Amino acid sequence: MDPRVENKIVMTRRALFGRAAGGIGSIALGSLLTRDSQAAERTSSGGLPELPHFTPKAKRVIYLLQNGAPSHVDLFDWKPALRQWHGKQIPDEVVGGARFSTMTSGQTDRPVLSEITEFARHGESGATVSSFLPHTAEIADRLCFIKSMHTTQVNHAPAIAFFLTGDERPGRPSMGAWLSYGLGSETDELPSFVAMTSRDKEASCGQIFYDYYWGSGFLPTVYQGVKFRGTGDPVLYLQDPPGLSRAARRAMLDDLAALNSKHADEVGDPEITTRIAQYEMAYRMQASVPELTDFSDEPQHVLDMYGPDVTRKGSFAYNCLIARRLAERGSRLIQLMHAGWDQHRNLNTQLEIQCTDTDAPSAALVKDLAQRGLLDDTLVIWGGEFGRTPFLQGQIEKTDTWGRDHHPYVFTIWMAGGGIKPGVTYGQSDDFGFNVASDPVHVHDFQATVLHLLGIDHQRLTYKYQGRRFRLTDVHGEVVAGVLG
Amino acid sequence: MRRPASPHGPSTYAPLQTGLPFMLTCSIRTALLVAVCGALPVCRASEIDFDRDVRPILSENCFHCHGPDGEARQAELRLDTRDGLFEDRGGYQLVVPGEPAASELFHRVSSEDVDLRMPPAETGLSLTEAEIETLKSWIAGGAEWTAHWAFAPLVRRPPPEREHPWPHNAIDQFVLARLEREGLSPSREADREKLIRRVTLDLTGLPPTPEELDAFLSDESADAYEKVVDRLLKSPRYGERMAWDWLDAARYADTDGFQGDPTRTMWPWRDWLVAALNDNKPFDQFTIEMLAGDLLPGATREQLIATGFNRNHMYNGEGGRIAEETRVENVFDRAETTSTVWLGLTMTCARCHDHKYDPITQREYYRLFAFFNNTSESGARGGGKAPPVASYYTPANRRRLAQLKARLASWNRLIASPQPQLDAAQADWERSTAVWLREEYVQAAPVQLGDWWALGPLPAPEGDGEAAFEQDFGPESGVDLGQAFADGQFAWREAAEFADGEVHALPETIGATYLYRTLRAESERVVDLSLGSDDGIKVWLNGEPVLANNVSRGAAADQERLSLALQAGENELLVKIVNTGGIAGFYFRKTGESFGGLPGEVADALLVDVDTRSDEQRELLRNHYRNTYSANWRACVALVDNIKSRIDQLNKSAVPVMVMDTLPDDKRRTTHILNRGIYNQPLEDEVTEGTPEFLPPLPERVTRDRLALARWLVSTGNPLTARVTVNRYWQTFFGVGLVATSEDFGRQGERPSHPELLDWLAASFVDSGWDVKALHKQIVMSATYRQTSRAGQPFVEVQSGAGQGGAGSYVDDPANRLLSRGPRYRLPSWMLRDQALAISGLLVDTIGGPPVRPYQPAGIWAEATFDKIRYEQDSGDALYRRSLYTFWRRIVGPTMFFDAGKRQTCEVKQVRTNTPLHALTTLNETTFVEAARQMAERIAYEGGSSPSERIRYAFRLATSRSATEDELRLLVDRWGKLKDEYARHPVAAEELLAVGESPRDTTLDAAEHAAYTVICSLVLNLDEVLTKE
Repeated sequence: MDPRVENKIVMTRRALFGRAAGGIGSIALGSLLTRDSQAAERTSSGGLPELPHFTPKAKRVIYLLQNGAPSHVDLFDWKPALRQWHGKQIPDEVVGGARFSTMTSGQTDRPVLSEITEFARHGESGATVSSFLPHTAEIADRLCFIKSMHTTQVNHAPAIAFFLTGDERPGRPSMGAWLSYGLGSETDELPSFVAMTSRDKEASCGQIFYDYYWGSGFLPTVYQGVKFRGTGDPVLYLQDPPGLSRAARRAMLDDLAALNSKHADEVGDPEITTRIAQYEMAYRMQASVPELTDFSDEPQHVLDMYGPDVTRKGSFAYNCLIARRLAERGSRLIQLMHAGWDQHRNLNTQLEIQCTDTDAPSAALVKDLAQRGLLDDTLVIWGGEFGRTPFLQGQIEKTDTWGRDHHPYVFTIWMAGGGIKPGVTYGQSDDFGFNVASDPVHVHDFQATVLHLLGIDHQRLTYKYQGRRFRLTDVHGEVVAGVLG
Repeated sequence: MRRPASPHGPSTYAPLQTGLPFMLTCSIRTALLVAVCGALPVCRASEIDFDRDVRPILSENCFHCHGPDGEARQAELRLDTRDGLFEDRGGYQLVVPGEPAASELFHRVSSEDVDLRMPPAETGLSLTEAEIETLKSWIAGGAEWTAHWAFAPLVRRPPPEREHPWPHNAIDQFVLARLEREGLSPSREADREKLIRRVTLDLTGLPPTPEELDAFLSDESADAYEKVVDRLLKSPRYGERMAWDWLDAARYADTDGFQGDPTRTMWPWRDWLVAALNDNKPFDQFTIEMLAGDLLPGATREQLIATGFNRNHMYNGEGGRIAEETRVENVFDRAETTSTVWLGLTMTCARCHDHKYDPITQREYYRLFAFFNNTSESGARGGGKAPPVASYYTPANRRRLAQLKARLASWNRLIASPQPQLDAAQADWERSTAVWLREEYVQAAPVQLGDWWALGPLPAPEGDGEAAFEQDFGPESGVDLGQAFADGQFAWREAAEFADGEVHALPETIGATYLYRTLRAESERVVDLSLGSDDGIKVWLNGEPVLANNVSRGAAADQERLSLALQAGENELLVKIVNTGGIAGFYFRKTGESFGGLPGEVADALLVDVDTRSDEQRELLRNHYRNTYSANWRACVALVDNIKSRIDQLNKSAVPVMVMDTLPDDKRRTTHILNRGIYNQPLEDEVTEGTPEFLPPLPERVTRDRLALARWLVSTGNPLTARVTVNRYWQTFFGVGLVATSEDFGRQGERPSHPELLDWLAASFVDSGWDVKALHKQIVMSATYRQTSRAGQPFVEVQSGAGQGGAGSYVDDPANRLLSRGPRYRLPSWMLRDQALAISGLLVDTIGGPPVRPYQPAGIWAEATFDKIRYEQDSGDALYRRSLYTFWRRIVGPTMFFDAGKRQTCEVKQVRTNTPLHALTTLNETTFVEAARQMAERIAYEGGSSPSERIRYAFRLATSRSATEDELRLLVDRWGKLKDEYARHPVAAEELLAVGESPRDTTLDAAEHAAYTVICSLVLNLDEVLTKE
């Protein structure tokens, strides 16, 4: 980033805190910086002063990243040609010189595989949604399907990194880190950028969740996502040691603050005041995080919407409800990652299970946000890192070997809320769901659009590192006007 | 004299003469320059310096399209070279010295016409009025051009000597000169307590002990401080402390990273590093060994292990991964890491295109890449030990191995030495045996093996493989090659394809296969056979069973050894292979034949005339004779075998360390520029090893290999290595380098705050023979380093501009770039943990060895790896080792370290942030709580008997200073209340005292102990304790 105003932060922070402990209440987690980090002048929420660039439609994002790549041709992108061509070689002119992962790059046979589900049209918009996703089908009129997504990456980790950071290699800031950096935080008790992971119960696919998926890259680490864990305390070391009462902790922190304040007066280093504030925020988090994960105030009918898994810690359904509660409490980007979509050889057995795990919770989240009036300014994104081949991986005569390989050339995601036009389908694939036929949306276009909805010109949110101004969209990206509401 | 801060930002140090338009302009310019250079106050309102003032403007705004990148260059125009700026472009010139109005550069940047104005609006860049004014002034002043400072040769300029009581050494002269220019005073020296704590933490990563503190405080000699410094530099803790930053730079970890994240054993490299730092290995040698130790003449095992530096990168062995892609990624990493660490250059962008800012072409990138492209690493999945690897033995095992090898050699000498009596008897035996052999054996040809015949596999009844082993399907009672079996379904067939000496697959049928062949012997003799089978095997010779082994296994050589006595004439061999499931197969080889008790080759040797026997034959005969006739000799051989097997065991216990090697000439890879850095898109022409042209050339007539590269890096003419290295070490002590961008010395990097000091340090570092400890001593001995980190404590002899913004002000110079006070910043998280362990007395100071697994919340690894890998916490001493020995899983690093390097790619700059998550760690993490509990015991033993004595002691242990009465009163009061509370809640006290695995002294009153534990935890969380002051 621009170190132009590095010194000013210190002044700003001093102005915010004063020299007394009273002024520390309103500082957001993920927005406090030491003098050592590159930092620009901050707004009261800790964002850059020039942001937002224009009036935002969305205040926050819930990204339901379907890790492993759901099959677009089985779930959303209905292609009658697949039934007609089932078992026959996909025409060469469709495939062209396309590159595949090493799992099928050596395969000479590429028989078309018909969708394994039943499609129907749903809602007034007539969206095509598979029978495996009945709850999603029910809210089709709230959703915007982009059926012309494409990417350049064919392997999972690089493709996910590409979606989240704009580059396939580890080391760039994730979208949530960019948002915290640019927009600051709306909460002073919870992290602004939260990541949560889950997987199918059978753990059929083994994609690892790398921590750079929610990393801050070259941005200061205050902007990195806080990974809520699926077991134990959601936040590391949240619990006081056994045998230490809250009253004792409070008293201890009071004494600590008193001693530190005195020391701050003697030394004159404003960093000490910041530290006092951070200890206070830690204390508040110790209350706010357990409150966040306590579902006892959720009515039964709400819990029912998310499905029976909602009470199972670490499940996708549980994480969806946590996501809604975080959204209510001011988190900026809530990134759910659910693994298990990588059906190379088990499409017939695994896809339905995977849909069952995710369908109701995803739809419930959208409905729940809507009924609370939160959907208008919450952008919900559902999609994988690429799609799956319309042709078969496996043996056509053995249905239990059926699978589909990675497919970057076209796939489908959906978005809802936060300034997105509801009930539309944007872009088209060709007759085989193999290539983009119209209105292509590249990953960088998707990112530009998300930033746009948050009031950010993707070309102007930059950070200077190693002599170069970096941005989420690298040197590409165009806002997809057709999906804006 | 200090003037009020400029309205353009608190970072402005330039004197501001209000009311004078020119100076006002200068002030604005200064503010912006400060901005460009990363908040570094540089402007002295003097003449304009091209490198300092002008090039940054051009680099930031123009180089992208008119810079080093030939592909992106617009209008054939480049502003990054002198030629480009001054060339005659057919009637006009970008820069006409002295004439701004005639200079196209000035014209274009100042034009009112948006179509003409540079940079174009769509770039989002624009020059400020002040920047335009700077360009104008520079041209008007004669447009003097200078090279980028970091690429210019080191300037050996003596320090600005002048009479002044503050400086201790040359560093201070440079710092003082700068401070005086700014109208600032240095600060007074820090209190002794602060000073010893600071220097002990900086040099060893641990706080001083009370004894060390007392010794220093009571030492009134003039060199008391120097004695402390010398002691610390000799401490083995020094190497452990200095290692950490190198581990970050070397992207060191205990796993490969990526899917599966297999464990590797690179810790011998880490131990090499610690030892090299402790031994003060000169930096040039240190460099050469890490980059090219394997290429040194007569390279030692240590020098080979040192090259693990460039195998510490991540390694992608995911399923479906293309090996060459991984290999190329790894070579990228090596080239870029080497470039960052030694040259301070950010090369990554030149993978795909010419560098946008620095004079590095894509071709030059691949010339550097070429140095690392000829290692035998293939990129194939390596499971943590991808070849090439070197075996590492622990020092104890290495000693044992050397002893065993020596013993083996002496025994071998002994058993090979002449034994006059035995040898005479042997000679007689040889003569007589040879005579006999000539009569009986010479005419006899070796045993003739007939072709195989095969039958089956005959399916086992009801698929019962066990029954098939027992059942005679027919041939076992006599072989008739014309016979048919199972109602004519099976018959004998010739199977000449079953060549001897290899494993042959048989059909997977569960059942029995019979194999038959004849062995023709001219005379009676013994044949030695090696057989293998999948699964069970039976053998008959001439109808007599000679082997039956009902096993389940895969076939391989030497599973069965047989010595069969053949009769003269034809012998019949029948083999039955029984498959109990899965694949099946067999192996057969004749390994020898013997005659009259003599192995064939012995007999052959005996038939050779004594004088013409080869050495091998002599040895063969001697061994055969002694083995047959000397019990003593047999005992010696048994001993030798025993030694050999122990050597084998030790070799198996050796740890594989990935190292560098060089492919032989006939297997060398050629290097090509890779289009956009894509591994399988090489461009046509070949690229050879070479270094960037803007730097001094490699010496001619040397082999262009890694050794040449390493030597070039540390050659005296290289302007970067010494600057980059001393800067990084400055950063170690001051938290920020003289060049804040320690990873980037290129044109987009920051300029040094003290250029003359940087050059002086670099030059004297080179002149000292790259003596790192001497450099460190120089730094910590300086008055600059020894200043107090408190604001407003001017060095008394100086007439200072006291008051607001006086000496050491955090307001005017938050990052302390002018060095008007001592360093003050939060300790790295690993050092906080080490400090807590040391203060509590828990620290186990064993050096080196395999990594350890201290406390970590349950489920961290399992959650990251889908339950495939679980964290198995260690117990006992392993919990209390220094942090650098903690096992580092790349995909999910140790949880107790915050702001730590990611250990994925090279990192040379530490991050320091301040978040609530850090507070939660130092308050609640098990080690920290346990340390507080143990510290509470320690103060009970060592601190005295009263609460105030003990708490006073605790405070001193942690801060190295005495608590004030106010501080003490607050803590003692709190202790009393806590004690009462714990007395009322004994269960709570017991719970708190049960944290951690170290035993608890139950003779201490639990309520008091628990209350002290809370107080100690509080003390360990004081800002003063978390911070180096």
